[in-house]
Formats: sequence, structure tokens, C-alpha cells
Amino acid sequence: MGEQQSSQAAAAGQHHPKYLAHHFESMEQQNASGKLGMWLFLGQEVLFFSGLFLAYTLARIFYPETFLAAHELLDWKLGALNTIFLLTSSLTMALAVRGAQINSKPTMFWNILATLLLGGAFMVVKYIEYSHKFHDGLLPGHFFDAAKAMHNGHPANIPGAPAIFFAIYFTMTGTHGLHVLIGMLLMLWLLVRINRGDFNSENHVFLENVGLYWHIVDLIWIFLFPLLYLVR
Amino acid sequence: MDSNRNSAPKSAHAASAGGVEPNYLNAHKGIWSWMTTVDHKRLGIMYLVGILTFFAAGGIFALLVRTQLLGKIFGGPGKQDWLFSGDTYNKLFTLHGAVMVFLVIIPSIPASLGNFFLPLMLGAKDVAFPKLNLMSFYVYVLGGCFLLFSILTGAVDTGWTFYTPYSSTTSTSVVSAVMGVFILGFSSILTGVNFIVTIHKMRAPGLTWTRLPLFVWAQYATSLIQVLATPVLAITLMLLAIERTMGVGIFDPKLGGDPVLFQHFFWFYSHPAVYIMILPGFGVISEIITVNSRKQIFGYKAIAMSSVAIAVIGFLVWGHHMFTSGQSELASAVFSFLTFAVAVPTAIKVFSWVATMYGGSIRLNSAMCYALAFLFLFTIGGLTGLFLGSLSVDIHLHDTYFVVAHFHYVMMGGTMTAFVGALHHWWPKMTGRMLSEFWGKVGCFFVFVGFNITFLSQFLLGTKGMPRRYANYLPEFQTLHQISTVGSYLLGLGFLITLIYMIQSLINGEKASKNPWEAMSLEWQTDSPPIEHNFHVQPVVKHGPYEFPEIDHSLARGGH
Amino acid sequence: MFEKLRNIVLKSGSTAQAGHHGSEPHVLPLKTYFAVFGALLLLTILTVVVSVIGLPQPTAIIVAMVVAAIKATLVVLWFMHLKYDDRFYSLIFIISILFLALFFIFTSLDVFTRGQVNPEESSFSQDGLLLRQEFMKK
Repeated sequence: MGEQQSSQAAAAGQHHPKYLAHHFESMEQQNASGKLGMWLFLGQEVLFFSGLFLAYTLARIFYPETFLAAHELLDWKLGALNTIFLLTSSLTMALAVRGAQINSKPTMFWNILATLLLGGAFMVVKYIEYSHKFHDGLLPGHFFDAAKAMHNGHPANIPGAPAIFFAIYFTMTGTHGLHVLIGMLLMLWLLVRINRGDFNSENHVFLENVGLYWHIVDLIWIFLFPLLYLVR
Repeated sequence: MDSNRNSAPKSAHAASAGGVEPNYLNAHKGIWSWMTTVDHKRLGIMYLVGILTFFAAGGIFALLVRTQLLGKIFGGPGKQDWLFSGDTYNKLFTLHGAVMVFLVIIPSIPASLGNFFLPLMLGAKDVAFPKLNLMSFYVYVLGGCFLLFSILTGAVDTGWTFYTPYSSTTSTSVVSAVMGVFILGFSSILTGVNFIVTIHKMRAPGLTWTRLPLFVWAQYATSLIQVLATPVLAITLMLLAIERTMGVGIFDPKLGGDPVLFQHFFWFYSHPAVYIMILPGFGVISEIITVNSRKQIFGYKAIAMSSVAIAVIGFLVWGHHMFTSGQSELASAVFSFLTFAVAVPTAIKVFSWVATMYGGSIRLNSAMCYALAFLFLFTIGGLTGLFLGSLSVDIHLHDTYFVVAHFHYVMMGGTMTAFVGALHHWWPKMTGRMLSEFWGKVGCFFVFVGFNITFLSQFLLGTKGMPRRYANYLPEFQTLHQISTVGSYLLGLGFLITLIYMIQSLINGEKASKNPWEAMSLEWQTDSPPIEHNFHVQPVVKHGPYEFPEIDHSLARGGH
Repeated sequence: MFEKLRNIVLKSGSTAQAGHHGSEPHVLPLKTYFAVFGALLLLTILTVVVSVIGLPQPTAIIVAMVVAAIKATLVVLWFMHLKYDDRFYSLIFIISILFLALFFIFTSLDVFTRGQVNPEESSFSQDGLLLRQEFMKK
């Protein structure tokens, strides 16, 4: 095995593949480095969100009645719809990576486009939810407007600290939504590069890394959905 | 496996060029070639310049604070806030802390020397992600700009810890400072990711894990913490900014939150961050002491593994900053116990360094002087940490000058001494010039003596009950405060001398050879200063990093 | 176990061995992806149904989290290819989850055991709750 590799490396050294950066010896080394870097970044993402999840957990333990009452103000149907959007987008993303593995440019292109559109659909639903909350005064911290909420037909008295619940709701979904937006931008760039013919079965670590990122965004939503929308 | 790799020819721009290949400094010319460089060596130098600039700024803040604390010498005792008001004083010590922690010590060794030497020590052409490396640098600059903006718009008076609810209610510009630190965190994370991948994937043929220089092991442990802890700081500061702008109250008891929760969030990062600061220092000391003792290091594996152990246990002790905060008694007891556990791997290191020197033929150059100063100062810093880790003693000493002296012994006496020592050790490689040995030792003397005068007196102040962060104090503390201030001037003088002879060396220093300290690790096998792509020929490693030729193997096998 | 961990780290390490995963991408059959996707949808429906039925509280959250964890595992193992990739990536991911757990465990250790010596310091003591409600009214 070792011998075969070193001959590969030597061959690589001679033609120097188009996408091989100068400081790497081989495409294998370059791809493995890229992916290792991405996994480390994903570990970082897990811990980034850990703070939000911990804040959620403790706030919920301090104010169980608040969470029970306030979550009724979120529309679980929209949340479920968004879950389906993201799960489907994860599927299309995985298929796009598979498309790169089997050297199929159309598979890559259409699946990334589908992922992008599903991400867009997710954001549209989020927009609808957010604008509804803004309209009804269901906002974080001192922007929370109990009178306005009541006026718009929401339960008169949410016990405990509704301001904290909505702060956590907006921070968690907002941070997650920001990640979705970044993912969508990356996918636009992916579309350009796929079109340019940058990716093939040997060189698609960028595509794969965006995929990994997108899956972790999906993964976080998998937890957010029951925690925020399905408290009961 | 190794021999397979050797056979492959890897001399793209090999020694066939003959003559003099331009080094990394003069391979490209002009300011733009520096601004857009992806060369890890140039980025290391750029970080170094940034860090030293901020170090000077933070040092001036510290001297101002110390000058205020002289009290009014002339005209008898009386009003002590004679130089500036208490508010200004609060801002100055906050700036001193925030600048020193976030802009100087955390990036000091990893970002500057780590960037420069990690790929060289691994025999690689560059770090794994050179462009990401450039981006980290600009993220660092951007974070610095935010902090600067915060200073210009009224500064912060919360202390570098940003404790709520004060930080969410004070009128100073907390949000921009917090944003600055948030951004600096990302620079740190990206550097950490880059280094871990580099160490995993970019090692030269034959450079196995047990042949890595210990500096690399220390960097590895540091990077692990950077990647795993810094994101929690980011989210904490984001929550603080939201809390402040929207009155959220997760951390505010008045709005139904829990202020101790903020401290948990903050210290989950900031305690491991202490090890981000000190671990690279450990790595540097392992290099300097071994190279200058001309002896195989004592306990290579123990030192390497203790770095990783410190990185892991360092995550389990953050509650020892919160013994008096209202944290539960049980949690305090557990955290106190774990704090003592950290002392074990740390002591293993100190023991190994001392044992390495034992029986060695020590070369006492200025880098080695700094390493010895490190041993002395860090040991005091570490041992006084045990006082503070004991629950009952901490109740008395918490938030006194004892704490201030303790962490300065660790951060300043440990990390910064190691950093300056490392600069002396690697200066010939980085610049191609030698430093003045005489003035190096003079500088080291002033730093060492000045430091001890400054902070030993603060241990005494602390045990007598002088609380930290106050612009005023009772008259009985005045003498000790004045001694401390005089010490700080000596310390400042030491650094000034160092700065002067460093500049002198750049201008007309003696030219350095390839390997002035006769070290065995890879960074010394290339030119001084290194060529743009580091090595003329891909190096192949056949021995450990400390197997000096003069070691007499007939006496003892291995040496550890 | 320690030996196994060591191998995972060392194997992922050297440049000479870096290639043996990437050289030939492991292509999964399409039906695997669709099966995983189907399972994810089913589990989503399950979690919604459980919530609508309304289990008693500790059970409900535990069920919801277990279902979410299963979904996450499916995504990680198949969509993110962790099942077939370098073991070291799994190690990184597991470590990050372990540190998240540490964060939760040690913070909870404080929050839930406050006030054992001074009852008024408890997060949940009668006084503490009253105080909190008082603040809420303002």
C-alpha cells in the first residue's frame, strides 16, 4: 500500500494537478486536511450552540410554567413545515455530494439548487413567523409588550418571565437562521463553481465541507424544533 | 513506510538554484506584498508587531495604574486619587486587563511564534490553510479596532471579566468592547483549527508523534482548547450584548435571571483560556532548557502528555473563580478538588525541566536566563494558585491583591517571560541577526528583579486585605504600594532595554548562522532567515528533536 | 480502549497514510439516502404526535430528546458519512459533545445544589421564588 501511494505522490508531483495547492504533496493530503479542518470547525459549532442550549435549559427549569404558556404562542405547524424543509434539504445536499463522487455535474447542480431553494423556503417561513411576532409585541427583553399581545388575542397573563422566553426563542432561532443564510451564500458560490466544472470525484472537498456545515445546521434545528415548539 | 517517502523526489525549487536564494523577507518587496501575504512566516512577524504594540499599550496602562497607586507622596497623606479620578482608574485597569489578555497574551506565542515556527518544526512548506491564516490575522486586527473604538467612545469600566449585571447596566461602551473580544475569539478559533490540521497532516516524512518538538505538542494542546472553549466565550458575549441592548435578563436577577450563570459561561472559556496562555509558554521552556542543557529531555512523553492532560483538566476547574459568588457549596468543593488535580501535570513539567538541567552542560545565554526566570516565577505563581484553590483560604484572599499577584506571576512571570525568552531563542532564525548577549542579560535582570519587587509586595498587600480594583486605599498600605510601583518602573525599564537592543540588532546586529544554539529540531536546519518555502529540500527526520550529538549514550540509555 | 484511541489519532495523523480514505470515495446506494430520509420524516411525525397526545412532563421531554438524538445520529452517520469516514472525525465530534456535556453537568451541579448550607441562597427556595415573582410584578 505504501509503495503504491508514494508512486502516486511522485506522479502527482510531476503533473501537479490543477487544484493542488503548492504546500500539499498530494490531493489526498489536501482533501483530508480540508475535511479535518471542517470537522474541527463543526466541533466548534457544537460548543457555540451549547451556551444557548444551556441558557434554554436553565431558564426552562426556573420557569416551567412560562415555557408551557409561552410556547403556545408559537405555531408548531410552521415549525414542523420548516423541519421538513430542512430535512429534505439535507437529503438533497447529501445527494449532491454523491453526485460529485460519481462525477455527475447535473446531479450536483440540481441538488445544490434544490438545497438552496429549500433553505430559502425555510427562511421565508421564518420571516412569516418573525413578522407575526413583531406585530403582536412578542419580543425579547424590554421590547416585550404584554398589552399589545393581549390586544392581539394572546393569553392575557403569561406567568413568570415571558421576556426571557422570547429572548431565548429569538436568539436561538436567530443564530440558527444566520447560519442558514451563510449556508445559502456558500451554496450560491457552489453553484458558480459547479457550473465552472471545478468539482469531480477527486476534488470536491469544498462541496463536501459545505455539505457538512449544512447538515450541522439541520442537526441543530432537529433539537430546536421540539425544544421550542413542542414543549408540552 | 518512511523509506518509501524518502525516495520520492521533492525538490521543486531545490538547491540546484545554487547561489543565494532570497529569504522570506526579501523574496517580495513592498507593503502590499506584506498585506496580502499567505506566508506563515510573514504572518507570524505581522502578529508579532501587532502583539508587541499592544503589549506596549497595555504596559503603559499598567504603569499609569501603578503611578496612581503611589498615592500622594508630596504634601503628606490624604487624597490618593491624585493623578486621575476613580472612574478613569476603573477604565485604565479594565483596558490593561482586556488588552493584555485578549490582544497580547492569548495570541502572543501561538499566533506569532507558533505561526512562524510550527510549519518549520514540522518540515512543512506552510500551515494547512494559508489563506485562512491571513484571514485570522485580519480578524485579529478587526477585533483590535473594535476595542480601540470602544476606548475612543468612552472605554469600559467593568474589568476584563464583564460581569453582569454591572456590565449590562453601566453607561460605558461595553457593546463595542464585547464585540471586539467576540471577533478576536474567531481569530483564535481559526488559528487553532489551522494548527491542529497542520500538525496532523503536514508533518515531514519520519516525523512521528514522539519525534515532535515539545513546542509542537504544547501548541497542539493549546489549539484544542482554542477550538473547544472559545466558541462558548463568543456565545456568552453575544448573550451579554443582547442582554444589554434589549434588557433581556437571563443574567440579571432584577429581571428574573441568574448572574452566577454568566460567571459559569464566562469562566467555561476563560479558565481554559488561562491554559491557552500558559501552555505555549511551557512548550517554549521545554525547547530552551533542553537545547541549552545539551541533554536529552527528561520525560519527553510525560511532558507531552501532561500538556494534553492540562488542556483537558483545565476544562473542569472553572468554578474556582466563583467560590464567593453564591455558587453551591457542593460545586465549590468539587471544583476545589479538581483544581488541585491540575497541579499534578503542571508539577510533572516543572520537575522534568529541573531534571533535564540536572547534570547537563548548561549554556547560560539570555534565552536560558529567561527560562530560569520562568521556572522561578511560574513556580511561585503555580503554588500560590493552590492557596487560592483551597476553599477556606480563598474566602479570605478572594478579590485581594493576592489574586492579582498570583495571576501576574503566572501570566506575566510565566507566559510573558517565556515569550520574551522565546524571542531571544528564535530571534536569529527570524531575523538572521544575533542579539546582544550582554544587554540581553541586563534586560533579563531588570525584568526579573522589577517583576519580583512589583508582585511580591502585592502578595503581602493581599494577605493584609487590600482589595483589588480600588483607586484608593488605607494609609497603612501606602508603603507596600509604593514599593510595588517602583518595581513596576524597573520592570518597564527592563522591557525598554530589551526593545532598544532588539532594534539595534535589526540595524547592525551580528549575522546569525544557520544553527547558533546547535539545536536538532527542523527549524534550525534551514537558512537564517528561512527561504520563502522554508526548506531547499524536503527534510526527512531520522531522530528525536533533542538527540544532541554530544550526548554520551554509554552512560545511560535514553535519558528518561 | 486507550490503545484504540491512540490508533485512531495516529492513523489520522501521518501524511503518508492520509490518502487511504479519500482516494476512492465511498459511494452509498441511493436507496440508503432515501431510507434515512424516510426514517427522519417518520421520527418527526412521531415527535409531533407525542407532543399532541401530551405525556406527563418529565417523560415528554425525555422522549422528545431521545427522538431528536436518534434523528441527529442518522444525519451524522449517513448524510455526513461519519460511518464510513476517518474515525478521527468521529472522535472530534464525540469530544465536542462530551465537552458540551461537561458544560451542562458542572453548571447544573451548581444550580441544583445551591442553598444546602444557606437555604436562602437556593435557586428554588421559597424565598428565592417569592423574590423572583416580586420582581416579575414590577
